[in-house]
Amino acid sequence: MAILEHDHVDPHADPERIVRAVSHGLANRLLAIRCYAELAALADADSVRQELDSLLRVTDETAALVRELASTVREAVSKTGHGMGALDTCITRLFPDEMLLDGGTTR
Amino acid sequence: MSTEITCVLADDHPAVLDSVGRYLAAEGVAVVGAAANGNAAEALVLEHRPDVALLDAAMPDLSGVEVLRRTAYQVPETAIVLYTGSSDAALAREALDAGARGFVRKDAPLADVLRAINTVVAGGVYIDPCVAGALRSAGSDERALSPRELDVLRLLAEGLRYAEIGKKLFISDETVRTHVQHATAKLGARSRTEAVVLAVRKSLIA
Repeated sequence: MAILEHDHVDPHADPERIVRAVSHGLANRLLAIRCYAELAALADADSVRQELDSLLRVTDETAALVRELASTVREAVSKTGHGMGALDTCITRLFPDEMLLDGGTTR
Repeated sequence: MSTEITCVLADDHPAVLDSVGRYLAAEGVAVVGAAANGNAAEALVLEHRPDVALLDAAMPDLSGVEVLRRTAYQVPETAIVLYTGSSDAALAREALDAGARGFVRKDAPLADVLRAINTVVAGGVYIDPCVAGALRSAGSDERALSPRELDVLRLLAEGLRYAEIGKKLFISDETVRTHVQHATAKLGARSRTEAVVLAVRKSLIA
């Protein structure tokens, strides 16, 4: 992955922040998937296509994200000593908004 | 005359804003405003004065709790429900102390969001069962009671009504009711009378 080409040890990598960003980012996407699925179930014949399109779009986006996440974690695991830095960099790219969130009580 | 519940929704994730907003609308809730950040949420709550505001706890510019703090005294009729991916008891306690009427996790069944909205609009408090459990296991005891909740319990013990307590403390009847509900929940009491009795028994109030 391109993001790992400039892999480096990042002493400032914050495991808690990484976990929080991934958790928050995935929770939002899974919530959207559940909502669109529910909307599709509630839809009538005229609008079900639109709801299914939304469901497909957010599901595809989430699947791509999870695949990339899995690949990144695999790389990080294989690079002892460098893993957290690579993971931190990649998670920042995959979940940019969530990585900006503060810890503590802003979740 | 419409009796539809009005709601302002805020979340920084576009898909959540769209999908939850449309889900609520499909279930009969009138979403009068949708905000992608905390500042916009504050403005929409002040403008529309909805029955309920469902706020993402984690927004980059202004958290849901901050929006709550900024609007609680200006729009006491709006019940604030925090919607969060976290089950952190500390966040729940902070939100409840700030006056939140509801706390729902994003991984809860969608029906729970509707249940929370209906509960708070009816004057109750809704706390996600997982979070309530975390609050209890974190030692939800007298230390969790805020000074304001203790003031309200003390005045209740003196036999004052909500309106009289509100007048004494310069807060609305509704805010008094919220403090009583929070104190009752924190003490694990089933009624406000039991909450007062427990508070006296634990020497939290004279």
